[in-house]
Amino acid sequence: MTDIFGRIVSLTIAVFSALSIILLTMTSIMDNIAQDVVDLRTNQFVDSVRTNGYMSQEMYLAYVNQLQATGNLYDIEMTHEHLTFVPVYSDDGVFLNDYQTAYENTYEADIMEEIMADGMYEFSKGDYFYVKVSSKNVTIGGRVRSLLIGVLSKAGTITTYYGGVIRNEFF
Amino acid sequence: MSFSRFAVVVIILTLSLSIPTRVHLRETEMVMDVKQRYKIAMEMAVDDAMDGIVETDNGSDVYLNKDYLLEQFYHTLFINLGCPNDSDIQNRVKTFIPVVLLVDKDGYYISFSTVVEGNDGLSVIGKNWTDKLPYTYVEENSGRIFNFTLGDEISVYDPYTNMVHEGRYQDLARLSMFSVDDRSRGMYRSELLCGGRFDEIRRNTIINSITESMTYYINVHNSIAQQFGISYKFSLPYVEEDDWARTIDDISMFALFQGMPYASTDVRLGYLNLYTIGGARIYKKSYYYIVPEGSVPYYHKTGCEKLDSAGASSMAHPYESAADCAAQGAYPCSDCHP
Repeated sequence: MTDIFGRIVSLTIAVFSALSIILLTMTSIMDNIAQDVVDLRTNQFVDSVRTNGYMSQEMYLAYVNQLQATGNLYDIEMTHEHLTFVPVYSDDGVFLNDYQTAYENTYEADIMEEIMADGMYEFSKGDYFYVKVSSKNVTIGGRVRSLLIGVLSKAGTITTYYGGVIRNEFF
Repeated sequence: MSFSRFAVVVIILTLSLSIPTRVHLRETEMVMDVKQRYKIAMEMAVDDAMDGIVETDNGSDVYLNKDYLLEQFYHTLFINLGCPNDSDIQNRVKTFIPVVLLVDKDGYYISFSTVVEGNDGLSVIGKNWTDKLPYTYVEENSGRIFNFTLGDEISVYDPYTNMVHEGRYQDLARLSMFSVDDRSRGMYRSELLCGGRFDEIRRNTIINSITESMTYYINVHNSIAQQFGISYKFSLPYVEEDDWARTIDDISMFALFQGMPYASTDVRLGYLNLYTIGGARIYKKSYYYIVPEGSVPYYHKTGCEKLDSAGASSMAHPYESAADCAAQGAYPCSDCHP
């Protein structure tokens, strides 16, 4: 009787161990694929914006849909840096024969507002556009790891940065 | 052996094989990811730096804005490494870039490391450009000094006549002072111009000059990096033959990223060591116009709707850059955001 009980326990542990390893490996691969997809889609999206000189509603929505296909939720932080040259005047309005340079930064809230209102957000040649994407939820791999081996996973394990100079302008 | 013991043996065997394999796999993946991420970041940075580097090009006169090049290079690099606003990480990244090379048509510049004082009074790594370093070759028999370019144009200093000759090497080779060997009259046949090995010697001279200078400034960086706690020994990596060919073909840039451990906690995994090469694209400027609105002048870029109603006098005077307009006291238009 004891031997039968021992056999069942041993068999259960053996099967559980084998399945755990397979599950850990599979979900880890899924996370890696999700990271690759996020990298690839972000690169394609940013390059498309940099080449065209604008971001349309369709471009943005297609990008978001591609990210969602990985099964995770993401924070998308977009930054548009526009270099401006502003003349320097004294307090009494006399031009001081000098100018200052400054970056005017526009972030995703304002970019999205313009996209939703006008259908398009335009950039100037030489501006900078960059995107940071990070996962908001604990990924499937993270959940399985915390369940099976007790390693706590945080959100944001899938993260990517990508950006550069705007190459063309939309006319 | 009973079944339960057999099962235990199987479990131990499976775990002892799978866990080290998994750890090794994760390390390999991590190294590959870091390599790929930095490779993309460097390629983007070099690409952006070289976009618009050639400020004026009317066929012969080219002006390279080197400060603009470095600014663009580092800005794009920091963006793609996720630290566009973190100056501490930015300074750390700069310690892994010993040199940046800019190859011009008649010489080259190297951005090398120096120590400067940061905003908070602490020492940080700074970058300076060398003056233009020529591609110089000294002919043994005559002592003539040749300065090469990336093309056929050369300049030759002749110590006997104390004169400088400039032109295409094929044209200079026809002159008797280079083609005739008459030592009694101080004429030496130029083996370089007339020996049929001009391209080979020119190419080797350019590559050797660049290699020697880069090695020197990498050594300078070694001593500076040590002050910032980097014990890695920086050195010029082996550059593929094809990559040299691309570098000395036209105006181009070469950037080296070296010495960063793949994992800061485990240097056993090795160090990142990569270089990136990019060619220049000629930048066609768009023009800017200043239009007064009341007493305040505003500047607009080509295509702005406000230019439709601008007077002929405004349109007759285009400016080449937004900076030129601001220097005239004009504000940027709020519509076209020049």
